[in-house]
Amino acid sequence: MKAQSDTNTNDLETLQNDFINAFFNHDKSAATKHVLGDDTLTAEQRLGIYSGSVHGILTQALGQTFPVCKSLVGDTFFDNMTKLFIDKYPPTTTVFAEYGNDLPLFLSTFDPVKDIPYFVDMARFEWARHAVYHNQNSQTIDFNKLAEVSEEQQALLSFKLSKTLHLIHSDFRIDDIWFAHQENSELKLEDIDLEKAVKLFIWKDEDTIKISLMSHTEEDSAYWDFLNVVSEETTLGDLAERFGEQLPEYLNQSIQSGWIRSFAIN
Amino acid sequence: MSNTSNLVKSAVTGAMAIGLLTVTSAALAGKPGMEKCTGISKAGKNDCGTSQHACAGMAKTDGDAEEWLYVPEGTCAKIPGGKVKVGKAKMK
Amino acid sequence: MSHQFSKNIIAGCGIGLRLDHFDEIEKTRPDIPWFEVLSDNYVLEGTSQRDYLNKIRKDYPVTFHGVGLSIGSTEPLNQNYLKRLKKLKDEVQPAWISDHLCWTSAHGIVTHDLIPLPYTKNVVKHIVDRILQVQDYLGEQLVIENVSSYLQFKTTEMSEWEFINEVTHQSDCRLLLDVNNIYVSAQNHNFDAEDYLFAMPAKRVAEIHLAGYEDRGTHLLDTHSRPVTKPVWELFEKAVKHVGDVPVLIEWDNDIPSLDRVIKESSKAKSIQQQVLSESI
Repeated sequence: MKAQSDTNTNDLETLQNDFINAFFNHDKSAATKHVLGDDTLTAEQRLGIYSGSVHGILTQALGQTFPVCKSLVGDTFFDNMTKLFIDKYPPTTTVFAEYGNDLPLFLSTFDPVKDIPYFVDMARFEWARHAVYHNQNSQTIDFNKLAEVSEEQQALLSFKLSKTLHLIHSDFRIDDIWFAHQENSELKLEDIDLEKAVKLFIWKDEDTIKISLMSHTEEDSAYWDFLNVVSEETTLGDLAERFGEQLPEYLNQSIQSGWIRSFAIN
Repeated sequence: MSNTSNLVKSAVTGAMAIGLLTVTSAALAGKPGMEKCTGISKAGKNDCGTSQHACAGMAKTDGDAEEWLYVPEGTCAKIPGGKVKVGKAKMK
Repeated sequence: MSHQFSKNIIAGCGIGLRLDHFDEIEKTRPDIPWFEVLSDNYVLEGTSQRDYLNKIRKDYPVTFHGVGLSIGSTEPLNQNYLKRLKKLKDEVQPAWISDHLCWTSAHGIVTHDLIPLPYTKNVVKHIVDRILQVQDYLGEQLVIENVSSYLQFKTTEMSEWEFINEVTHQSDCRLLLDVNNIYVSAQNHNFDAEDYLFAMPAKRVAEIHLAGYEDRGTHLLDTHSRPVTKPVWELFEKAVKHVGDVPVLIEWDNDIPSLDRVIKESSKAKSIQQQVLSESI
């Protein structure tokens, strides 16, 4: 398909860029100049209807992706917070389900939530659940193909974790906070032992999202570390340096469980 | 051959031995290292109706406030130890 | 795959498929002639939502309705969007695909809102060119919907109905006539809704939309959150007289009520439509 370079559309391009600036950079002056005002509403007010609508639609979508975060701070706080987020990270995707990845990052430097120490972790947790739900894995993995990798290249291999597995570590009991917010939960918010660190697996089992707690034994902690290091696409050579004798077992175990799904050569 | 390259080799050999694996939910059921499954839940739904204006009906026509006091008014106040203070942020 | 699907005959008064009603639809298989699917929400592959849509498709005819096409944008057509849409289309086989006569994204940013266009000859040319490209890619006629609006542009050279006629004629696309949108825009911009309605190219109308708006004092807001209002029902009667027997669809996107309530609204549309059609014989 050909590029849109028609000079006839220059005016329209300017108009659209001015509108995007009005919506996300709060610079309404240029966009207002394109719009007719009247006795009922000024040009700026008419533009404002759209600005409010754009933010309203996106705030609502974020509220559906981060419902516990929204409950924790209340609707007004959440809506004002997401308004700032939307301006800083406007959507680049047409799919609502793909929008919001950057919210935890945005919140990590957002002062008003500093006094709710588990809030950023909850945003990461909710995004992880959401991402696991909207992802799929191929059902078969063929590690026979490793035979094509020469011995010299083996140390440069890296592995990818399943797209339906997320690992979340928090200094707070965010899994309990999340469950306490669910309908018909027997767990009460008042009973949560907040300051207990957790390592969580968030994963998909057919249509169900499961949240599992990592045990605290030394050996399991090392396995947890292994999965985290793998997720950073660390090479097999580096994994061997770090995990020594345990490496073959860990790798085998994670492939058998379907948590490592593919490999690449760096 | 160094110990590291031995380990690399043995890891690759092990993985290759698994070969073509069909991951069934049974294979996914008992994960090593999991203490317990703290719970399961049906996945969230995402269906913000698309062809409408102002899902949340937030048509603001009188300009944005310069500063807004961030007072959390949600469930966070109920969590023991999760105390909150009033924050301030500039609305631009 | 088509052999396992129900026949794709779109007729009568359908409703928009919403996730809130999934479980009930699956359990009760209500007597609804067809569903309109918000295609943008199903483009991700391997999701439970997609599986569900394929299940629904076995028992009901469906049409697609999207927002992401941004046919009026000056940035290049979103190839990734088109690719995903085509894949979904091939899998689900909707009777047709509709989107809006407006723009939703620019400069790489997606507003997810329906922003109007200045109605000029240059813009007609630009949009016709893009509709032709999309029709070429999808291998079928596109159905384009008139939007409601809250502002007008200084550079506009023609009425919205002239603009729609030019675009649909030159690109040979079809029209999704949203009667509620005509009413909302007529109120917001002080024109006669009937001037607009009767100027519509009746033969190109593939589908009629009905929905409820909210009155914000200074303007009507097209929120799809309410029952259809009395003046819109009245305009709908005239629309049926003008375009004849075309499929009608109820949209309800906010404060979504029970499935029964939405079906009730579509039954009302059906009885009005049948009344008008029987009178005009």
